[in-house]
Amino acid sequence: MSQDVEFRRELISIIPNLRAFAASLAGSFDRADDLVQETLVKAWDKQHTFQPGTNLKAWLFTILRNEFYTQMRKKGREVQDVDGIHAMQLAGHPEQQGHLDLQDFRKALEQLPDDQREALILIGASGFSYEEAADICKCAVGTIKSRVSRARTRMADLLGIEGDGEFGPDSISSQIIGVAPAA
Amino acid sequence: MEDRKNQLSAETDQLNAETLNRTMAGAAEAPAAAPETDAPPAGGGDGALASDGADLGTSSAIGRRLKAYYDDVASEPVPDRFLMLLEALDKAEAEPARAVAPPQTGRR
Repeated sequence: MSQDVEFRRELISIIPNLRAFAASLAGSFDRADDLVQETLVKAWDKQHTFQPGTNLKAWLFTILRNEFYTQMRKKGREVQDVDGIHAMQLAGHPEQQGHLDLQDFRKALEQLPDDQREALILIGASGFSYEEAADICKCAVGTIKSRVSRARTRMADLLGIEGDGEFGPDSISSQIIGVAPAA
Repeated sequence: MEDRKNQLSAETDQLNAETLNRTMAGAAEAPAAAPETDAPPAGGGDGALASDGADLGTSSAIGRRLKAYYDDVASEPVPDRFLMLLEALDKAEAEPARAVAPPQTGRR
């Protein structure tokens, strides 16, 4: 019984991460939260298959990702057709308004192929190792590395960032003057 | 509904086994890469990147924005909807068990 309580407690602690990952996959907050809900129900049903002591976060991310791609397949990727709507829904999120920089970033992110975007998120934001990300995406570590690298190059291109890493504290001023394309 | 559930069970079972196998394989190969186990990040978990060579740390413009983008959602409190869901799941699990078990309340 106390195991249940512990499992639930850990599940709850990972929900914020699941939501952020889901939002990056789904492109809309409503869909993201539906995905998280599906994930929680499945995780609950399957909790006996989870090995305590192994990585619960990675396990949950794997379930969520599978759910997302299953839904995508069922819907015949209809979501891909409504690019603008995604951006609008995301911009409509109250927390998101006023972050012009963030909106640019989001738009750029949406232009990445799904596999590159998820690799970038898992490594750069969710805090997974390359090995963990490879497990979650069911591909080789090298594949994840090259996806992250390509995603990064593409993002730098889209955002007009030259020599990423030397950007330093100037990123603040870029929010004010807008990100000028590095010609 | 039942069918779907069963199918899902099978999927997740397989998935879990795969993850486990890989995790174990990975652990054997690279003991230095400490897997993130029972330390769930509270809230956003800023700067707690497990990945080192990603070149996506805080010194990178893209890395920083990526974190800002992600934490924008990840720093929100858990919506009640999910807390209520988990509570409901917990109850749903407890109740059929009680119904099936002989009604020996309170005695062992």
